[in-house]
Amino acid sequence: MRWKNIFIAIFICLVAIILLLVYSFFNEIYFIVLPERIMVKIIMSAVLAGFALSLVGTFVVHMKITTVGFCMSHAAFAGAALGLLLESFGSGFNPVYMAAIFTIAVALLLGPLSDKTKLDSNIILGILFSLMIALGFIFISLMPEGVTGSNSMGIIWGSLFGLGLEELLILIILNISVILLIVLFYKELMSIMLNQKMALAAGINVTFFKFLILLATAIAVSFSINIVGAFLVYAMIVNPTSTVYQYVYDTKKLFIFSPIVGISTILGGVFLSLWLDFPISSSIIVFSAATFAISVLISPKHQKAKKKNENKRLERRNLKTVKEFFDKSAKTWDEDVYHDPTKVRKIIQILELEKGEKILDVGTGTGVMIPYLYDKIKEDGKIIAIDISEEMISIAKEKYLNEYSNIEFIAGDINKLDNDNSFDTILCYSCFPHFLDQEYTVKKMADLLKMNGKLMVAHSQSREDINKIHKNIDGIVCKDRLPHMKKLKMMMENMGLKIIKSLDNKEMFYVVGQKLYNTNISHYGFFFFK
Amino acid sequence: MKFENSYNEQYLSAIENHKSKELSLEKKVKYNIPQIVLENVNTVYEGERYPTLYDINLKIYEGEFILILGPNGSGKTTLLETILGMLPIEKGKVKINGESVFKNARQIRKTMGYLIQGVEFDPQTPFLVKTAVMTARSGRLGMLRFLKKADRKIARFCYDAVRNKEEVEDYWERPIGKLSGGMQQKVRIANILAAEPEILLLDEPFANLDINARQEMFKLFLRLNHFANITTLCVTHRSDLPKGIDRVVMIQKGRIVLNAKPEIALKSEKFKTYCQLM
Repeated sequence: MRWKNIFIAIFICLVAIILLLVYSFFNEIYFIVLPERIMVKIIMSAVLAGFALSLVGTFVVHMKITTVGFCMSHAAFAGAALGLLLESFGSGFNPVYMAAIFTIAVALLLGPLSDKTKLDSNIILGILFSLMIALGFIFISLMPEGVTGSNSMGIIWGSLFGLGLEELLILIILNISVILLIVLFYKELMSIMLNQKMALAAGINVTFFKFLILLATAIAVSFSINIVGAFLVYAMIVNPTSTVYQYVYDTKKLFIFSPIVGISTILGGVFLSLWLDFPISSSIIVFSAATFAISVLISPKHQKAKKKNENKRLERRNLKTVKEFFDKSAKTWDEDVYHDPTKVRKIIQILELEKGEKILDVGTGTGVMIPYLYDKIKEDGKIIAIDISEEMISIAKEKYLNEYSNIEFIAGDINKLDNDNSFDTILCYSCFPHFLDQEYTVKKMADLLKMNGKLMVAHSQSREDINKIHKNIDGIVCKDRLPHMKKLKMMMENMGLKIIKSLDNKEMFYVVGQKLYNTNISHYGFFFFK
Repeated sequence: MKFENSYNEQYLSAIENHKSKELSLEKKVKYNIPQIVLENVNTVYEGERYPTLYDINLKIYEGEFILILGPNGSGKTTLLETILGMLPIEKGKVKINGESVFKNARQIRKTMGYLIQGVEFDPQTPFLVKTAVMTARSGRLGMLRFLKKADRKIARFCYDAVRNKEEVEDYWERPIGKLSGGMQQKVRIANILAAEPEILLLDEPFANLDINARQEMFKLFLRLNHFANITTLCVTHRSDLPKGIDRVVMIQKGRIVLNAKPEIALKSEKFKTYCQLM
């Protein structure tokens, strides 16, 4: 549980900072006395604000309520404007608290409003957002002249010397409580973020946790506006998480990396502002947007699949390339591939062939099965041997064409044969894995059979061995697999073949199906048929 | 296999042996006290003038396997969500184990596994399958209880039972959005199974699944019902009646038009006309 340790480490750091602050508060050591101290304070406020904003941002982005960011920041703006207005009339009230009141009000209103109106929370947020801007402008227009240009406007535009001691303390407390929230309610938050309806059905209090998240967002926004500025604070909610989103698929990593990105972009923005003398809020946002843009450009999520894989897939789907593969290996086939004669005889025995039958030998290759088949059917019968590879067929022809008179060789695709219902037996020996569409080919073979004809799929090895052999071959057949016995049976049964014999052991693999009825309608899609 | 932290050992052993065990003839349905009771229920979606469900009276006993049939838009999903207490009802009573659903909705929902129809995950969602399978069990555990190793083991076990081990790769540590629709459906099924519910409400559980998986899943649900006495309500718009179910409930235009055992249902006129339509 490494991520938990990281959270604990961050937690301890924050506790240390809070102790330091409390100590300095009581000993009247203020940060503002010396320039270095100012730097320390700036960095601290950047770290705290970045951490809080990006951590709540992970929830906001995840739950697709990014509009809450706009809405909260403008509520903070309106609140701050009202606070400044009151301040100009001489009240001693910190404008930040006014901002907090406004944002928390938005958080409180959002849930009931979207429940009541049955509208998406994004729409409610859109309405509240425009209302907040309007209120903010009213408050600004009411301000006496002179206030608008003064330093106190930093609350709206952001300022380097922004955060006071109180705000820092509140941010620290907020950070601790958000971390506690994540650690304590990790599983509930995960469920809500994955799918709210599923979480609701699982008996999780979705409304409560959503409100907690909104509340945390409200507090984080309102107490960090002094540094980032009320107008642009929402970017700090959305940007870090979106940046990290480009890289990770695991939510735990999201929780760890988005605060890191958030803190570093705020720090980067602060230094950019110090270096080029830009306004601080703009430089923070420019910096974070640039980070986001770069991360999108180099993100592995958006890169196309590697070319190598693409070619492989194209090759696999193609009938031509399968043919090329077997053409290439035809010459050495008889030396490379060994078929145990006793097993082959056993397979032929199981078929119970009679004299004079018409047989289709699918994927005949170099004609391995032909002599065995001929033994049973003699001169009266007929064997049609088909194979996709021309080279293979020509080798088979060389071997057997002169020897036996009643054999016809075809080089081509079995799916293109005419449906003539004329075969007594179809044998599919050691070739089933290579069919491009196995289900369709089974249907085709069933169509080719006479009524009560038999279809046999056989191998003289076990299923596992065959699949292992194909896996280790370097070529397009490396992904060809013999299906599981159950699946194969189901395919055959769906095409109107009754399974009469089957065996799947370490020595052999075969299924024999007998055609009982014609299937012009396939029974696809019914989980129950009999 | 032994499981710690399990609510119902019998349930997990039913999942474990679902491939080998055959259904026995006798099943224990406790017909004395109904588990789910709906009395004159009208469900109205907010802002709608007319109810989606009219005057529903239904009693479901513990250990029953019920198939809920009906054309699209007839109110099948609404019925399930009414039972869960997720929708407000205009009149009538919904009781589960003698208690009103609305009284303590969250506690009751924890013991029910509701498979939601048609949830699709965004391809960019940063959730791994292993996190997604845990969510229903997280709800069942309750607040302020941490997921333990034993819980993860049970989730993994359910996921393994659902996916076809021989044919399908292990997607346990892959992002869920990148899976196919069928695999996502299987993950959702594993998700509700991992919570060890006492009542299963399945809304179109076979959507996106291939024939093989459909049969496997149906077998699994039947075994759970048979050997662990899990009350199951299975919503579907198909017209074929599989073996092993106890009752057929047919809904049309928000009303229950047929509520009978499958043998009787097969003979009824309403079922026949429905089958012709399908």
